[in-house]
Amino acid sequence: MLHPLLDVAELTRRFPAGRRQVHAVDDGRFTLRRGEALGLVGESGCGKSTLVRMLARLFPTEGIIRFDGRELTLTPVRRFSADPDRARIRVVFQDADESINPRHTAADAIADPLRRLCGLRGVALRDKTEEAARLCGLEPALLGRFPHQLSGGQRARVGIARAVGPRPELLILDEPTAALDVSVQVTVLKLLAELRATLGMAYIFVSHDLNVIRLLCDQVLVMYLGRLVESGPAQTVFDRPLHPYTQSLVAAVPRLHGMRVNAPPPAGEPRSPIDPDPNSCRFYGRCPIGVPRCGTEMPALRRFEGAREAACHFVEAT
Amino acid sequence: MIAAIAGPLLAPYDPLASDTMAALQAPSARHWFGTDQLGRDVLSRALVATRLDLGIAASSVALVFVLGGFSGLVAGFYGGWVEAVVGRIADTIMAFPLFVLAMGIVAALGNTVPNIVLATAIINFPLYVRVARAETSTRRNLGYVDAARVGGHRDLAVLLRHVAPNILPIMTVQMSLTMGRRAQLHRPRRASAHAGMGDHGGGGRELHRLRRMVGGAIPGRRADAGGVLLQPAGRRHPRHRGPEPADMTLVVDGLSVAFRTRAGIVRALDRVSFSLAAGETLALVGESGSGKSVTAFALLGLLGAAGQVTAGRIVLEGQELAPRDLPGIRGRRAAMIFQNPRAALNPIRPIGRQIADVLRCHAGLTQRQAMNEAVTTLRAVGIPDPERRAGAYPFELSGGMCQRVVIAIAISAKPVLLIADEPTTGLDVTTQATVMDLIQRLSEEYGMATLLITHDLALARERAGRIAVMHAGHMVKTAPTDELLAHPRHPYTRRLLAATPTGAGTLDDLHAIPGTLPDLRRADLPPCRYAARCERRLPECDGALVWAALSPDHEVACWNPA
Repeated sequence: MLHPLLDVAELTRRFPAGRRQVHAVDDGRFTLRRGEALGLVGESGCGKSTLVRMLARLFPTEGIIRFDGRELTLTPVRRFSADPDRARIRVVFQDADESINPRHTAADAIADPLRRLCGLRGVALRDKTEEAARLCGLEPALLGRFPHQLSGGQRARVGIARAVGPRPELLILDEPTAALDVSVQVTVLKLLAELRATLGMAYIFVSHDLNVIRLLCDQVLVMYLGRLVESGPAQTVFDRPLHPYTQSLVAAVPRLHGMRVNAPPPAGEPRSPIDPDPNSCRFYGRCPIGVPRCGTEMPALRRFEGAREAACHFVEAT
Repeated sequence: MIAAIAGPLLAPYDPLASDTMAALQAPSARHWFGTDQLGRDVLSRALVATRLDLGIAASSVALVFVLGGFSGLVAGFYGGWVEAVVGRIADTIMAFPLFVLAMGIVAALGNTVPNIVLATAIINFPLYVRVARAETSTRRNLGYVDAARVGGHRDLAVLLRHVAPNILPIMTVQMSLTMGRRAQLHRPRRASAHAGMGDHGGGGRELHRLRRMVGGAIPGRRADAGGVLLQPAGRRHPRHRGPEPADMTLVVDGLSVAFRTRAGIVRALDRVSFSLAAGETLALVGESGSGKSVTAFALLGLLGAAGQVTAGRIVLEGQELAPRDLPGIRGRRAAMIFQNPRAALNPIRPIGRQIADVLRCHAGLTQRQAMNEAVTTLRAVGIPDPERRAGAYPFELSGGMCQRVVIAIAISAKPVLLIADEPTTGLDVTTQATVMDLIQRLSEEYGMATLLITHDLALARERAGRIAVMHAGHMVKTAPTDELLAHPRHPYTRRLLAATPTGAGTLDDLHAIPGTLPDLRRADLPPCRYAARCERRLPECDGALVWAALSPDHEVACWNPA
């Protein structure tokens, strides 16, 4: 069998906070097959963005990131910019407004990685730039414009065109539609679905909007305070969440139709990510189950039927 | 400037040639500016001196611009020990009296022009480092910097090609400021530095005067700030129905708002009408730019200098409010919850005090009473351990907790009308649920009329009894929530629903709304602002817009409702 496109294990990132440490991501592990779309959800501050930046090799990393069978963490972040795999992992950043250099035109923005990563120059560069723009539904007339002369939807397209120009195999999308109106969001989501079908890219899609994740992703990972608490096929996770945190997350999503699920939102505040008790479940204290055992024994991710995993002592095999 | 650069060529006399016979002459045809006490031509001296002044100023500024700018870039970009080292160097320079330091450097190295340039560059180094460092560190984490790194650029290329051009405008301003000051600053030292040149007129002072003249000559800014006021359109609302029902907390009738901008008049709201009963929640939904927030700001008299209510009435509890009354109700009878709670709170004042301030201002309580009341209010909005948390600063609280504090401030004066402008944007769904639960509970408890502004139809559906849909400044539809969702009659409402992701269905079930919002600055805005995007358009749509009542509380602004 072919090895997966991305195999991540023991991924950990801690930031110093005085003498103590913020545990931004603890022991992240998952695999991603070629062409698969993986959604990553969780509250703000749960480590989603940190995880994304580690996978994009913007951060030094503890742990293993095996991309297409090759261990990336052996190459220091500083030297990764010249690495041949740089062009195979691309990122669409949150907030297209500030992720495009205000002094670059749309064409400059899209051409930059093509020049740098693919070594294209002159006519070939222009052709590839226009091709990437066309793929993303940007008319050539718009390419000469600066970001502030583009609408929100057009800026989002420039951000996507810039990322897919070098034809990456892994595209990391960090809340690409969070700042967009529903109508524009629909067009951007459709564009992403179409691009994935035509170019065969794998996606890691970060969002706090479960409805959007469900539309675009096959698999989903749920994070809470730096740890993975549940993973599995997107539709089943949202239909029958196993972990109490996922249950409250799914229940809290406003619905356009049907009954509101009456699970109370988690009580209180998330605990501090600074030096958390390594022997306590991170959700303990807000969890509706919450028995003393949860405070003394960190639940491990356990496998369940239907390729699912959850980290809770009280999930029963169904 | 040109005269200064070409100074030696233009000067009619040798600036050093003295003619004691012609000392201290008044301006004449031979000596335009007269002569000094040694009989030297003042015009020639001024021209030559200005050139030297400018040369020193320009080269020292250029040197410090490159050195300081680059050090600041590196320090701001990498932070950590690099920043500490650069910062220490800058601080060390700052620790000396700058003048004395510059004179010391010149004295030590010798009185030559390059040394003066170096000395002035060194004493200005901290200024440039600080500006460059501050500007860089705010951009360090911006998306385009990360994007450039993911795009395969090495750090140096990211710095020079992506960060530097963006801090250049600020650095240039800094440069032009020091340029003028430099020319002034080295003047007193000149006596010792170029003894040979003697005192050759106030080059720096002249340059300074020039700068002042240029600065004062920027025309016309003030002229349009006071400018033309918009005239009320004088249109009456077409479906005005006589006296308002007395039981309504808020009645808005035919409200029109226009903004005067450089690019023309923006007709942001056109004849918006709705009413709101005590304890009721009405959601305003629509795309960004549809006029939701403008409605809220107009109700509270927060439109600013450029915006004006051009027509319509606002009636709060049976009392009609003139635009000048609106600031008076703000915070007392009508309160607002803002989109970004952290920005709405004073970052350097404990939250308990911020609530107490409002209470003292509006309810006239003493400090002690107000603090006690603030703790009670914090408890009411569900902040755990309110006695202790009252002393906390906003940065110590999470986004959800900050929004609770904002809500506490809003309700502390017991308003009759609560306007919540996207109160949960930027909050997590779980926090959103608890904050919305809180708003709902409080409006029931206090009998407040609540105006919930949101772009999320699903949220509106769960939290509001009625929904009003806005499009390009028109309220195109008002209906009870269940009816609106079950029978969306206005074409725009149908489109909006079709674009909203739901818990079921696939991406293929969703459809974007064709077209874009019309440009509200256009003088020839069509009567129905949705017509150009509409698939149910009829010839009648080019006539006057009508609001049709489909049932007593279901109104649609459409000639051809579905």
